[in-house]
Amino acid sequence: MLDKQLQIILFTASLCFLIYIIAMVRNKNLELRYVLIWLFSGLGLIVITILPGAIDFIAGLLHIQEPVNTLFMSIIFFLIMIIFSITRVLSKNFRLVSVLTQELGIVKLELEKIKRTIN
Amino acid sequence: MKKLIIIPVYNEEKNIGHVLNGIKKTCPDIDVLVIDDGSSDDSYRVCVESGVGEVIKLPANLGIGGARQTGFKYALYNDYDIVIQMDGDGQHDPACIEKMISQLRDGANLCIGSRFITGEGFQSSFVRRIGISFIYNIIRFVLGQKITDPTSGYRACDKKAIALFAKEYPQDYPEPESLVTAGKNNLIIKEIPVTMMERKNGKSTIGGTDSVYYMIKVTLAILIDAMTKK
Repeated sequence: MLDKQLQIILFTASLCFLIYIIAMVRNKNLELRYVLIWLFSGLGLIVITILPGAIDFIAGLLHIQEPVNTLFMSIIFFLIMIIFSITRVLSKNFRLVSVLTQELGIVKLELEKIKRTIN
Repeated sequence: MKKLIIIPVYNEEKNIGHVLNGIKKTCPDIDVLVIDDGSSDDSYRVCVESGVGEVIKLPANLGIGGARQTGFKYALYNDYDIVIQMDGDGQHDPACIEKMISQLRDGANLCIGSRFITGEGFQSSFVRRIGISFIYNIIRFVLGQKITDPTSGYRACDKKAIALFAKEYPQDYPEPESLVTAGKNNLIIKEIPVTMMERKNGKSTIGGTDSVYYMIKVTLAILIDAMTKK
């Protein structure tokens, strides 16, 4: 069983975090498509904290003795997922920036050529 | 036939003027495009003042692959039939250009200038040759074709190759990997002997710990490319 106090603190923190994220999305400070993974992680934590049996179940499944270690493991799992999603987005952005830089360079040269023919 | 020489440069103010003058003397009828990959030195000014060809100044440093691909895109948009890619450090002798173009006329899509066929001229250092022979073997394994100088940046491309590379070109250390891209897309690759010179000024982009990273990255990239479906 997870400690009651830890459970309450985790639940409150996760809930506040979720509310904060949703508020940020509403104010257009965050892009929903990149925030989804945070929402799922937050929800996952809430589920784990409301259903204390969940932690014990997973712990039993994975042969983890201390339930609190299962909690840590779940958090690490969420973190890895989030970091990986960032790497994915970064790779995509790298491609976008490359293409933009290339096209901008070409357009600048074409503009230069037009200016030359006019003068 | 519209022909274009593309030369990506990054901080080559000491070499590029010499390279451009050599091209102007040897093949004055071929267009030249220099892509300045966000150099922090005077490369751009040197190129513009040389009066040879056009210069694209990229607003940020993309790396050699991204810079060279800019050249392929420019060639595609301006409907060039042949692109000759050269390095900006003076290693490549423009006298070999016609020989490479004649290979394209004979049906090749991509012609590579190899320094190892006849073994004349600058042969690179011993350690590098070990690296090159390793890459040679991987490419031979992946493509089933012997390409003696897979790291050579001296190449001629026909329209099919231009269109492919404009769409798909590796971003860093592109030479060996782009061969796999070409081979996987059924381009006909040929090699001819060329003589290379040692770079005159400055250091190569690859050296020291970079070379370890280079080998790992290139090997992985080739093997992953070999797995991707067209």
